[in-house]
Amino acid sequence: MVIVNMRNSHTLASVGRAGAVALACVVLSACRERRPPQGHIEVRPTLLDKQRIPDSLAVLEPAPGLTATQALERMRGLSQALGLPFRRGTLSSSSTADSNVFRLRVDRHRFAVYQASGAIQYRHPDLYRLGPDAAQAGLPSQDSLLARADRDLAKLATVGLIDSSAIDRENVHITHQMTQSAERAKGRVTVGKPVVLDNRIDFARRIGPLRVAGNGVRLTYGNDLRLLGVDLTWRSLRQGDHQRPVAVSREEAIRLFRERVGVHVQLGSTVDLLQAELVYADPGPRKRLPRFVPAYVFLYRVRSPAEGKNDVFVVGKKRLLTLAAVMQGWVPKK
Amino acid sequence: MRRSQLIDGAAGTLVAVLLATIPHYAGAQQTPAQCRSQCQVDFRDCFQSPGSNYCQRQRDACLARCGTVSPPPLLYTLECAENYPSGVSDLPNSCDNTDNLDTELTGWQGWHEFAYFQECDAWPQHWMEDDRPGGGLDNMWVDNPVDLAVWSGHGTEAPSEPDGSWSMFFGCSHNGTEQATSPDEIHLGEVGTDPFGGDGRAKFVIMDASCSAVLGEIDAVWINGAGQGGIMMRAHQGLAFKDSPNDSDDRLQEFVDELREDDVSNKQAWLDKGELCVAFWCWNSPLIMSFDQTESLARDRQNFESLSRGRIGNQPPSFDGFFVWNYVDNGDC
Repeated sequence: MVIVNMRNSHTLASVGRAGAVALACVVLSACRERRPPQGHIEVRPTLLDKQRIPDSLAVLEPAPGLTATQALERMRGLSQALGLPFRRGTLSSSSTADSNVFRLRVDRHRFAVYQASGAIQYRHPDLYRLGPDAAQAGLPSQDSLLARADRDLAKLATVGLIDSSAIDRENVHITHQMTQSAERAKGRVTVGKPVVLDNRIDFARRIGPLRVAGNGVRLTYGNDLRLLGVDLTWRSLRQGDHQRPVAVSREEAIRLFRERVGVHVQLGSTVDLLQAELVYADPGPRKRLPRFVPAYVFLYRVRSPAEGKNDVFVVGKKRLLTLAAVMQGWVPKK
Repeated sequence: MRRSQLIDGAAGTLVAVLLATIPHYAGAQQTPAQCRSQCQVDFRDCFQSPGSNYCQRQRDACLARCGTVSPPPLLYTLECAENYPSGVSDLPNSCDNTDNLDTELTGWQGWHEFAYFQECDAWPQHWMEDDRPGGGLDNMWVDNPVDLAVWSGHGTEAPSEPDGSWSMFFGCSHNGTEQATSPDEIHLGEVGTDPFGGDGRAKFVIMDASCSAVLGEIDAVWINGAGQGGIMMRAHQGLAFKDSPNDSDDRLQEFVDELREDDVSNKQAWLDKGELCVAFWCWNSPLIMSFDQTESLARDRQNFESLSRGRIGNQPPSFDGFFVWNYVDNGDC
């Protein structure tokens, strides 16, 4: 039930070491007591702490991948809803190991639809050409940004790309593209001040009592409130199977997280838990998703002291641990 | 996972001597035919030593610069580490990230893999300036003859940032160290009378590692160091993170895929694909920086330059100049 992203090309030694630890945990079923985490796991307050955990949850079935015609229709729908330039043209497609991406250029406006998930992206040609003068007229207030975003969400709902009632409005997130410059002259550097270039607003999706990690809408606006970008991942759902009992409690999930991560953490290391929540976990727009399974997700990173160096820490990349919350045999890997 | 190319110490020393002495690398004026002939002569001895895979690559690079292939290939070196010693967390996807980049980049727009070192074959010395006390090997692996150098692995931070220093952290210790540190040791793209020997070539460097571009120390780590330059001497662009990116297996592939399919700038592709958006909102703070003689030119480079052959601009004409960087602010290190 516990899935950790393990690369399959570890050296034999490390695979053996990990395998021995895992085997010991299974056989003795007292791994936590016999091999306690030696590092410090910093569990900050997360949404999981105050989340109500239902007794049962549905496993849902997303619609299968799109055809090129359906992808073009989604692009047209997005353009129609938001007043973007659009004309039917020849889709280009690129494929990777995971899936196809259908692309369309209208003048310099770019559209992309991911075949596996139906996720849509739109980029205005000015989005990555903005210079510091973009902030000369001042920055928009949060209220004006949210009001503009609300109008656009309503428009997206009218063409069926989202269900506006499923938007989580309690945890809206705003971030920015920034720019800065510096001059190097005669061995000295003069650094300028950072400038806000755009405003990116993220809305998550809800299905029943849970949010969907990886699904939602990002709307990007210039400081003049022009729409410059859309990222919309909103998988269509077919009827799923009936409710299944939640088999892993919040406390058990946290214990498993501590145990699973803790065996890899040594004395002096710190695990920063950045986010934890019971969700429907989407592995990303390129990935096929046979079933939407309720799962606990833990986003974390590990910091370890560098051996032989005072005051230097090795900082791990962020990792995502996913624990299925209902009894069934499949869980997304990422 | 493919194994990387290795040369043993003797061959490495031999090649280093050759590189330092052959006319091609010394910039002597020759006709293309003379140049090609010289390449064959110069590398004849190299092939008699162990590690001839390296010699083949160096000779091919030499021949390409003589006009054997038109236009000459663009070369890249990849390095990664997943398995770290006890006490440091592993990064299970770190080399998948470069594996997938390798697949995506090979053959596109004339790019060719020059070297790919993984795990204990990736040495800190590959990134260290050859013109420093103790001697690095960057003139052989990541700063010459390559155009693009990529690291996917751990980075470091101090208890209090910014502290004016950042290190790449490798999976194995080599010659007593597992770190290459900026600004003391890493200098890419230096030419002519620039500090550190002027024997650099790298145009692009990607540091897919934590805390590689922390605001407040970009001037020290990337631009100027102690007044003689940081990671970017006259390299065109640096791509990094101002926070800890996720341990992705396909970020670099996605980056090149967007360049290839949409013919966009490095800036656009890096800022688009550098984020992680699978956990409600987006995480990761990708940062890209360009250098040129004036601020206007640096901004043009930032807005237009790409790994696509036709969009690679000229080398910045002077060591003094302007840096421009853009980032998506999803948090700090």
